[in-house]
Amino acid sequence: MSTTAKYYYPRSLAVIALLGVGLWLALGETRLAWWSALLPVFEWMEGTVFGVIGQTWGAAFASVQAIHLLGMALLGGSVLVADGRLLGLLLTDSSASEVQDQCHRLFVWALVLTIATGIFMACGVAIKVYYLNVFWYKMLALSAGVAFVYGIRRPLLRQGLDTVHPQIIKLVAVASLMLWFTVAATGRWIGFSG
Amino acid sequence: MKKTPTMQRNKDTQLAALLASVAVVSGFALYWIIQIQAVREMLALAYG
Amino acid sequence: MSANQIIYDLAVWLDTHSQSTALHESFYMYNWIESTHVLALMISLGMLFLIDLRMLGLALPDIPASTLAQRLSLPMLVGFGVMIVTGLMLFYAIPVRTSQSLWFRIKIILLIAAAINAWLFHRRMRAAGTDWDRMQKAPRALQWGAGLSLLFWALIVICGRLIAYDWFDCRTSPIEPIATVAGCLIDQAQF
Repeated sequence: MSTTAKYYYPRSLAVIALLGVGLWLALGETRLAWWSALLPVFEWMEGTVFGVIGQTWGAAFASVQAIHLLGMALLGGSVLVADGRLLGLLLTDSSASEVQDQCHRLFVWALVLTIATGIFMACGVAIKVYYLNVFWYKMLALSAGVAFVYGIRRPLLRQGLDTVHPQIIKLVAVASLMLWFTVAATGRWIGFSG
Repeated sequence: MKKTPTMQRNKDTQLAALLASVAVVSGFALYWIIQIQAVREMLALAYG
Repeated sequence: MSANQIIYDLAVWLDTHSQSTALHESFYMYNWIESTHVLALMISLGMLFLIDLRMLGLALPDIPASTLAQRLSLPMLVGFGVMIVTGLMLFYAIPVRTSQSLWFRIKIILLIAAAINAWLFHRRMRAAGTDWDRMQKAPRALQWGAGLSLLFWALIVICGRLIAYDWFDCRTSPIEPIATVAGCLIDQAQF
Protein backbone atom coordinates (compact mmCIF):
# COMPACT_ATOMS: atom_id res chain seq x y z
CA MET A 1 0.00 0.00 0.00
CA SER A 2 1.54 3.38 -1.01
CA THR A 3 1.26 6.40 1.23
CA THR A 4 0.74 9.87 -0.21
CA ALA A 5 3.62 12.24 0.59
CA LYS A 6 2.62 15.11 2.86
CA TYR A 7 2.08 18.30 0.90
CA TYR A 8 3.65 21.32 2.56
CA TYR A 9 1.89 24.16 0.69
CA PRO A 10 5.13 25.86 -0.40
CA ARG A 11 3.49 28.90 -1.96
CA SER A 12 1.38 29.67 1.10
CA LEU A 13 4.39 29.18 3.36
CA ALA A 14 6.40 31.53 1.16
CA VAL A 15 3.69 34.20 1.49
CA ILE A 16 3.61 33.79 5.28
CA ALA A 17 7.42 33.96 5.42
CA LEU A 18 7.49 37.11 3.27
CA LEU A 19 4.83 38.76 5.40
CA GLY A 20 6.82 37.82 8.50
CA VAL A 21 10.00 39.32 7.07
CA GLY A 22 8.07 42.42 6.07
CA LEU A 23 6.65 42.90 9.58
CA TRP A 24 10.08 42.33 11.12
CA LEU A 25 11.61 44.96 8.84
CA ALA A 26 8.75 47.39 9.45
CA LEU A 27 8.79 47.11 13.22
CA GLY A 28 12.48 46.47 13.82
CA GLU A 29 15.68 48.49 13.57
CA THR A 30 17.25 46.45 10.75
CA ARG A 31 15.66 48.51 8.01
CA LEU A 32 17.54 51.62 9.23
CA ALA A 33 20.82 49.79 8.77
CA TRP A 34 19.77 48.66 5.28
CA TRP A 35 18.64 52.20 4.46
CA SER A 36 21.96 53.67 5.57
CA ALA A 37 23.81 51.08 3.49
CA LEU A 38 21.92 52.28 0.39
CA LEU A 39 23.14 55.89 0.61
CA PRO A 40 26.33 55.25 -1.45
CA VAL A 41 24.13 53.68 -4.16
CA PHE A 42 21.99 56.79 -4.40
CA GLU A 43 25.05 59.04 -4.39
CA TRP A 44 26.42 56.96 -7.27
CA MET A 45 23.10 57.24 -9.12
CA GLU A 46 23.31 61.05 -9.09
CA GLY A 47 26.74 60.86 -10.66
CA THR A 48 25.66 58.63 -13.57
CA VAL A 49 24.98 60.05 -17.04
CA PHE A 50 21.22 59.80 -16.37
CA GLY A 51 21.65 61.73 -13.15
CA VAL A 52 23.72 64.45 -14.78
CA ILE A 53 21.28 64.82 -17.69
CA GLY A 54 18.29 64.92 -15.35
CA GLN A 55 19.88 67.57 -13.13
CA THR A 56 21.25 69.72 -15.96
CA TRP A 57 18.36 69.79 -18.42
CA GLY A 58 14.95 70.30 -16.88
CA ALA A 59 13.35 69.72 -20.29
CA ALA A 60 14.88 66.23 -20.50
CA PHE A 61 13.67 65.38 -17.01
CA ALA A 62 10.16 66.73 -17.73
CA SER A 63 9.92 64.85 -21.04
CA VAL A 64 10.97 61.57 -19.44
CA GLN A 65 8.48 62.23 -16.67
CA ALA A 66 5.72 62.70 -19.26
CA ILE A 67 6.68 59.37 -20.88
CA HIS A 68 6.57 57.87 -17.37
CA LEU A 69 2.99 59.18 -17.09
CA LEU A 70 2.07 57.67 -20.46
CA GLY A 71 3.50 54.35 -19.29
CA MET A 72 1.46 54.64 -16.10
CA ALA A 73 -1.66 55.34 -18.19
CA LEU A 74 -1.08 52.16 -20.22
CA LEU A 75 -0.28 50.18 -17.07
CA GLY A 76 -3.39 51.54 -15.38
CA GLY A 77 -5.50 50.71 -18.40
CA SER A 78 -4.25 47.12 -18.62
CA VAL A 79 -4.70 46.59 -14.85
CA LEU A 80 -8.16 48.19 -14.83
CA VAL A 81 -9.41 46.09 -17.74
CA ALA A 82 -7.90 42.84 -16.43
CA ASP A 83 -9.14 43.35 -12.86
CA GLY A 84 -12.42 44.79 -14.09
CA ARG A 85 -12.97 41.58 -16.03
CA LEU A 86 -12.22 39.47 -12.94
CA LEU A 87 -14.72 41.55 -10.98
CA GLY A 88 -17.31 41.08 -13.73
CA LEU A 89 -17.47 44.80 -14.47
CA LEU A 90 -15.77 45.12 -17.89
CA LEU A 91 -15.75 43.08 -21.11
CA THR A 92 -18.02 40.46 -19.58
CA ASP A 93 -18.91 39.12 -23.02
CA SER A 94 -15.28 38.24 -23.73
CA SER A 95 -13.43 35.20 -22.45
CA ALA A 96 -11.85 35.99 -19.08
CA SER A 97 -8.67 34.03 -19.77
CA GLU A 98 -8.19 35.79 -23.15
CA VAL A 99 -8.62 39.21 -21.54
CA GLN A 100 -6.13 38.29 -18.77
CA ASP A 101 -3.48 36.97 -21.18
CA GLN A 102 -3.74 39.87 -23.59
CA CYS A 103 -3.84 42.53 -20.90
CA HIS A 104 -0.79 40.96 -19.29
CA ARG A 105 1.24 41.44 -22.48
CA LEU A 106 0.42 45.16 -22.44
CA PHE A 107 1.09 45.27 -18.71
CA VAL A 108 4.63 43.94 -19.18
CA TRP A 109 5.46 46.57 -21.83
CA ALA A 110 3.97 49.33 -19.69
CA LEU A 111 5.85 48.11 -16.60
CA VAL A 112 9.18 48.03 -18.45
CA LEU A 113 8.57 51.57 -19.76
CA THR A 114 7.59 52.99 -16.37
CA ILE A 115 10.48 51.30 -14.54
CA ALA A 116 13.02 52.46 -17.15
CA THR A 117 11.79 56.07 -17.05
CA GLY A 118 11.46 55.86 -13.27
CA ILE A 119 15.12 54.86 -12.92
CA PHE A 120 16.14 57.82 -15.12
CA MET A 121 14.09 60.21 -12.97
CA ALA A 122 15.35 58.70 -9.72
CA CYS A 123 18.94 59.24 -10.89
CA GLY A 124 18.19 62.92 -11.44
CA VAL A 125 16.87 63.44 -7.91
CA ALA A 126 18.51 60.49 -6.14
CA ILE A 127 19.50 62.10 -2.83
CA LYS A 128 16.20 63.95 -2.57
CA VAL A 129 14.14 60.75 -2.95
CA TYR A 130 16.52 58.80 -0.69
CA TYR A 131 15.35 60.94 2.21
CA LEU A 132 11.66 60.84 1.25
CA ASN A 133 9.48 58.33 3.11
CA VAL A 134 6.90 58.37 0.33
CA PHE A 135 9.54 57.19 -2.19
CA TRP A 136 10.23 54.10 -0.10
CA TYR A 137 6.50 53.45 0.25
CA LYS A 138 6.28 53.59 -3.54
CA MET A 139 9.16 51.16 -3.92
CA LEU A 140 7.49 48.83 -1.41
CA ALA A 141 4.19 49.03 -3.28
CA LEU A 142 5.94 48.50 -6.63
CA SER A 143 7.86 45.46 -5.35
CA ALA A 144 4.71 44.08 -3.78
CA GLY A 145 2.83 44.72 -7.04
CA VAL A 146 5.34 42.86 -9.20
CA ALA A 147 5.62 40.00 -6.68
CA PHE A 148 1.81 39.83 -6.52
CA VAL A 149 1.46 39.64 -10.29
CA TYR A 150 4.08 36.91 -10.81
CA GLY A 151 3.82 35.05 -7.52
CA ILE A 152 0.08 35.07 -6.90
CA ARG A 153 -2.07 36.33 -9.75
CA ARG A 154 -0.46 34.61 -12.75
CA PRO A 155 -0.17 31.17 -11.06
CA LEU A 156 -3.78 31.49 -9.88
CA LEU A 157 -5.08 32.33 -13.34
CA ARG A 158 -2.96 29.59 -14.95
CA GLN A 159 -4.82 26.91 -13.01
CA GLY A 160 -8.08 27.99 -14.67
CA LEU A 161 -10.63 30.45 -13.36
CA ASP A 162 -13.35 27.80 -13.08
CA THR A 163 -11.27 25.91 -10.50
CA VAL A 164 -10.85 28.96 -8.25
CA HIS A 165 -13.32 30.08 -5.61
CA PRO A 166 -15.11 33.17 -7.04
CA GLN A 167 -14.59 35.27 -3.89
CA ILE A 168 -10.84 34.64 -4.03
CA ILE A 169 -10.80 35.86 -7.65
CA LYS A 170 -12.59 39.06 -6.64
CA LEU A 171 -10.31 39.57 -3.64
CA VAL A 172 -7.22 39.17 -5.84
CA ALA A 173 -8.62 41.71 -8.31
CA VAL A 174 -9.35 44.23 -5.53
CA ALA A 175 -5.89 43.73 -4.00
CA SER A 176 -4.28 44.24 -7.41
CA LEU A 177 -6.18 47.49 -7.98
CA MET A 178 -5.21 48.74 -4.52
CA LEU A 179 -1.52 47.96 -5.07
CA TRP A 180 -1.24 49.74 -8.41
CA PHE A 181 -3.31 52.69 -7.20
CA THR A 182 -0.90 53.05 -4.28
CA VAL A 183 2.07 52.95 -6.68
CA ALA A 184 0.53 55.74 -8.76
CA ALA A 185 -0.64 57.88 -5.82
CA THR A 186 2.65 57.69 -3.91
CA GLY A 187 4.48 58.47 -7.13
CA ARG A 188 2.39 61.60 -7.56
CA TRP A 189 3.02 62.61 -3.97
CA ILE A 190 6.79 62.43 -4.47
CA GLY A 191 6.38 65.45 -6.70
CA PHE A 192 4.85 67.45 -3.86
CA SER A 193 7.47 66.49 -1.28
CA GLY A 194 10.95 67.73 -0.55
CA MET B 1 -11.62 11.96 -1.52
CA LYS B 2 -7.93 11.45 -2.17
CA LYS B 3 -6.30 14.68 -3.27
CA THR B 4 -4.19 14.52 -6.41
CA PRO B 5 -0.96 16.57 -6.57
CA THR B 6 -2.69 18.98 -8.96
CA MET B 7 -5.56 19.53 -6.53
CA GLN B 8 -3.07 20.12 -3.71
CA ARG B 9 -1.12 22.62 -5.83
CA ASN B 10 -4.33 24.41 -6.76
CA LYS B 11 -5.39 24.58 -3.13
CA ASP B 12 -1.94 25.93 -2.22
CA THR B 13 -2.19 28.62 -4.91
CA GLN B 14 -5.65 29.65 -3.73
CA LEU B 15 -4.59 29.77 -0.09
CA ALA B 16 -1.53 31.84 -0.99
CA ALA B 17 -3.74 34.20 -3.02
CA LEU B 18 -6.12 34.57 -0.08
CA LEU B 19 -3.32 35.29 2.40
CA ALA B 20 -1.55 37.74 0.11
CA SER B 21 -4.75 39.57 -0.88
CA VAL B 22 -5.91 39.94 2.73
CA ALA B 23 -2.44 41.28 3.63
CA VAL B 24 -2.55 43.77 0.73
CA VAL B 25 -6.07 44.99 1.54
CA SER B 26 -5.20 45.34 5.26
CA GLY B 27 -1.93 47.11 4.47
CA PHE B 28 -3.69 49.44 2.05
CA ALA B 29 -6.35 50.33 4.63
CA LEU B 30 -3.72 50.87 7.35
CA TYR B 31 -1.46 53.02 5.14
CA TRP B 32 -4.26 55.28 3.92
CA ILE B 33 -5.86 55.62 7.36
CA ILE B 34 -2.49 56.78 8.72
CA GLN B 35 -2.01 59.16 5.78
CA ILE B 36 -5.51 60.64 6.15
CA GLN B 37 -4.98 61.02 9.91
CA ALA B 38 -1.66 62.82 9.30
CA VAL B 39 -3.33 65.13 6.77
CA ARG B 40 -6.12 65.93 9.24
CA GLU B 41 -3.57 66.82 11.92
CA MET B 42 -1.67 69.04 9.50
CA LEU B 43 -4.88 70.78 8.47
CA ALA B 44 -5.82 71.28 12.12
CA LEU B 45 -2.39 72.83 12.75
CA ALA B 46 -2.63 75.02 9.68
CA TYR B 47 -6.20 76.22 9.98
CA GLY B 48 -6.99 75.61 13.66
CA MET C 1 -9.06 94.72 -28.35
CA SER C 2 -6.86 91.71 -29.19
CA ALA C 3 -7.74 88.13 -28.26
CA ASN C 4 -4.75 88.07 -25.90
CA GLN C 5 -6.09 91.17 -24.12
CA ILE C 6 -9.54 89.59 -23.74
CA ILE C 7 -8.06 86.38 -22.35
CA TYR C 8 -5.83 88.36 -19.96
CA ASP C 9 -8.73 90.50 -18.71
CA LEU C 10 -10.86 87.39 -18.13
CA ALA C 11 -8.01 85.70 -16.25
CA VAL C 12 -7.42 88.77 -14.09
CA TRP C 13 -11.16 88.90 -13.29
CA LEU C 14 -11.13 85.21 -12.29
CA ASP C 15 -8.07 85.89 -10.14
CA THR C 16 -10.06 88.44 -8.11
CA HIS C 17 -12.39 85.70 -6.86
CA SER C 18 -11.74 84.73 -3.25
CA GLN C 19 -12.30 81.05 -4.12
CA SER C 20 -9.52 81.26 -6.69
CA THR C 21 -7.12 82.62 -4.08
CA ALA C 22 -8.28 80.11 -1.49
CA LEU C 23 -7.64 77.25 -3.89
CA HIS C 24 -4.22 78.56 -4.87
CA GLU C 25 -3.10 79.13 -1.30
CA SER C 26 -4.69 76.04 0.24
CA PHE C 27 -2.55 73.67 2.21
CA TYR C 28 -3.56 70.52 0.37
CA MET C 29 -6.54 71.22 -1.90
CA TYR C 30 -4.54 72.28 -4.97
CA ASN C 31 -2.28 69.23 -4.60
CA TRP C 32 -5.27 66.89 -4.26
CA ILE C 33 -6.95 68.36 -7.31
CA GLU C 34 -3.76 68.07 -9.33
CA SER C 35 -3.21 64.50 -8.09
CA THR C 36 -6.78 63.58 -9.06
CA HIS C 37 -6.22 65.17 -12.49
CA VAL C 38 -3.07 63.12 -13.04
CA LEU C 39 -4.39 59.87 -11.56
CA ALA C 40 -7.57 60.10 -13.66
CA LEU C 41 -5.18 59.79 -16.63
CA MET C 42 -4.85 56.13 -15.80
CA ILE C 43 -8.57 55.65 -16.30
CA SER C 44 -9.27 57.90 -19.28
CA LEU C 45 -6.06 57.50 -21.24
CA GLY C 46 -5.67 53.91 -20.12
CA MET C 47 -8.97 52.97 -21.78
CA LEU C 48 -8.26 55.19 -24.80
CA PHE C 49 -4.84 53.64 -25.37
CA LEU C 50 -6.30 50.14 -25.27
CA ILE C 51 -8.92 51.10 -27.86
CA ASP C 52 -6.35 52.81 -30.12
CA LEU C 53 -3.85 49.96 -29.82
CA ARG C 54 -6.61 47.49 -30.68
CA MET C 55 -7.41 49.44 -33.84
CA LEU C 56 -3.73 49.28 -34.79
CA GLY C 57 -3.66 45.54 -34.13
CA LEU C 58 -1.16 45.91 -31.28
CA ALA C 59 -3.32 44.86 -28.33
CA LEU C 60 -6.22 42.55 -27.44
CA PRO C 61 -6.46 41.15 -31.01
CA ASP C 62 -8.99 38.45 -30.10
CA ILE C 63 -11.59 40.86 -28.78
CA PRO C 64 -13.92 42.43 -31.40
CA ALA C 65 -12.75 46.01 -31.90
CA SER C 66 -16.16 47.68 -31.79
CA THR C 67 -17.07 45.67 -28.67
CA LEU C 68 -13.90 46.87 -26.98
CA ALA C 69 -14.60 50.46 -27.96
CA GLN C 70 -18.19 50.27 -26.71
CA ARG C 71 -17.38 48.55 -23.40
CA LEU C 72 -14.49 50.80 -22.48
CA SER C 73 -16.05 54.08 -23.56
CA LEU C 74 -18.04 54.57 -20.33
CA PRO C 75 -15.04 54.37 -17.93
CA MET C 76 -13.06 56.44 -20.44
CA LEU C 77 -15.70 59.17 -20.45
CA VAL C 78 -15.97 59.09 -16.66
CA GLY C 79 -12.19 59.56 -16.49
CA PHE C 80 -12.30 62.41 -18.99
CA GLY C 81 -15.13 64.01 -17.02
CA VAL C 82 -13.01 63.96 -13.87
CA MET C 83 -10.05 65.40 -15.79
CA ILE C 84 -12.13 68.22 -17.28
CA VAL C 85 -13.56 69.21 -13.88
CA THR C 86 -10.18 69.07 -12.14
CA GLY C 87 -8.51 70.80 -15.08
CA LEU C 88 -10.97 73.68 -14.88
CA MET C 89 -10.35 73.93 -11.13
CA LEU C 90 -6.58 73.99 -11.67
CA PHE C 91 -7.01 76.78 -14.23
CA TYR C 92 -9.32 78.66 -11.86
CA ALA C 93 -6.72 78.49 -9.08
CA ILE C 94 -3.98 80.19 -11.12
CA PRO C 95 -5.78 81.77 -14.10
CA VAL C 96 -3.34 84.49 -15.22
CA ARG C 97 -0.17 82.42 -15.33
CA THR C 98 -1.95 79.38 -16.79
CA SER C 99 -3.73 81.33 -19.54
CA GLN C 100 -0.39 82.87 -20.54
CA SER C 101 1.51 79.59 -20.47
CA LEU C 102 2.78 78.64 -23.93
CA TRP C 103 2.43 74.95 -23.05
CA PHE C 104 -1.13 75.41 -21.80
CA ARG C 105 -2.15 77.09 -25.06
CA ILE C 106 -0.55 74.34 -27.13
CA LYS C 107 -2.29 71.79 -24.90
CA ILE C 108 -5.70 73.40 -25.53
CA ILE C 109 -5.11 73.38 -29.32
CA LEU C 110 -4.12 69.72 -29.11
CA LEU C 111 -7.21 68.93 -26.99
CA ILE C 112 -9.42 70.51 -29.67
CA ALA C 113 -7.57 68.53 -32.36
CA ALA C 114 -7.99 65.32 -30.35
CA ALA C 115 -11.71 65.99 -29.92
CA ILE C 116 -12.17 66.57 -33.67
CA ASN C 117 -10.16 63.42 -34.37
CA ALA C 118 -12.35 61.45 -31.95
CA TRP C 119 -15.54 62.73 -33.60
CA LEU C 120 -14.24 61.82 -37.08
CA PHE C 121 -13.12 58.44 -35.76
CA HIS C 122 -16.57 57.60 -34.41
CA ARG C 123 -18.19 58.71 -37.66
CA ARG C 124 -15.84 56.49 -39.66
CA MET C 125 -16.36 53.59 -37.26
CA ARG C 126 -20.12 53.74 -37.74
CA ALA C 127 -19.72 53.96 -41.54
CA ALA C 128 -17.28 51.04 -41.65
CA GLY C 129 -19.87 48.54 -40.37
CA THR C 130 -18.78 45.44 -38.47
CA ASP C 131 -17.18 43.21 -41.14
CA TRP C 132 -13.70 44.12 -39.93
CA ASP C 133 -14.56 43.67 -36.23
CA ARG C 134 -12.74 40.38 -35.75
CA MET C 135 -9.80 41.27 -37.96
CA GLN C 136 -6.58 41.99 -36.18
CA LYS C 137 -6.35 45.50 -37.62
CA ALA C 138 -9.10 48.01 -38.27
CA PRO C 139 -9.61 49.56 -41.76
CA ARG C 140 -6.86 51.99 -42.82
CA ALA C 141 -8.88 55.16 -42.08
CA LEU C 142 -9.55 53.99 -38.53
CA GLN C 143 -5.91 53.07 -38.05
CA TRP C 144 -4.94 56.62 -39.01
CA GLY C 145 -7.46 57.97 -36.52
CA ALA C 146 -6.12 55.72 -33.78
CA GLY C 147 -2.51 56.65 -34.56
CA LEU C 148 -3.31 60.35 -34.52
CA SER C 149 -5.18 59.91 -31.25
CA LEU C 150 -2.12 58.31 -29.65
CA LEU C 151 0.11 61.09 -30.96
CA PHE C 152 -2.19 63.91 -29.83
CA TRP C 153 -2.64 62.51 -26.34
CA ALA C 154 1.07 61.83 -25.88
CA LEU C 155 1.77 65.47 -26.81
CA ILE C 156 -1.06 66.66 -24.53
CA VAL C 157 0.50 64.84 -21.57
CA ILE C 158 3.96 66.25 -22.38
CA CYS C 159 2.58 69.80 -22.67
CA GLY C 160 0.63 69.35 -19.46
CA ARG C 161 3.81 68.35 -17.66
CA LEU C 162 5.74 71.30 -19.06
CA ILE C 163 3.18 73.88 -17.80
CA ALA C 164 4.91 73.75 -14.41
CA TYR C 165 8.18 75.05 -15.93
CA ASP C 166 8.62 78.80 -16.22
CA TRP C 167 11.09 79.01 -19.12
CA PHE C 168 8.68 80.98 -21.33
CA ASP C 169 6.57 82.70 -18.66
CA CYS C 170 5.62 86.30 -19.44
CA ARG C 171 7.39 87.33 -16.23
CA THR C 172 10.70 86.27 -17.84
CA SER C 173 10.10 88.49 -20.92
CA PRO C 174 10.36 85.79 -23.58
CA ILE C 175 11.40 86.61 -27.12
CA GLU C 176 8.98 87.07 -29.99
CA PRO C 177 7.05 85.19 -31.36
CA ILE C 178 6.85 83.15 -28.14
CA ALA C 179 5.62 86.20 -26.23
CA THR C 180 2.75 86.75 -28.71
CA VAL C 181 1.75 83.07 -28.84
CA ALA C 182 1.79 82.94 -25.03
CA GLY C 183 -0.33 86.09 -24.92
CA CYS C 184 2.14 88.31 -23.04
CA LEU C 185 1.09 91.98 -22.97
CA ILE C 186 3.59 94.84 -22.87
CA ASP C 187 2.13 96.72 -19.91
CA GLN C 188 0.49 93.89 -18.00
CA ALA C 189 0.41 94.41 -14.27
CA GLN C 190 -0.29 90.86 -13.17
CA PHE C 191 1.50 87.63 -13.87
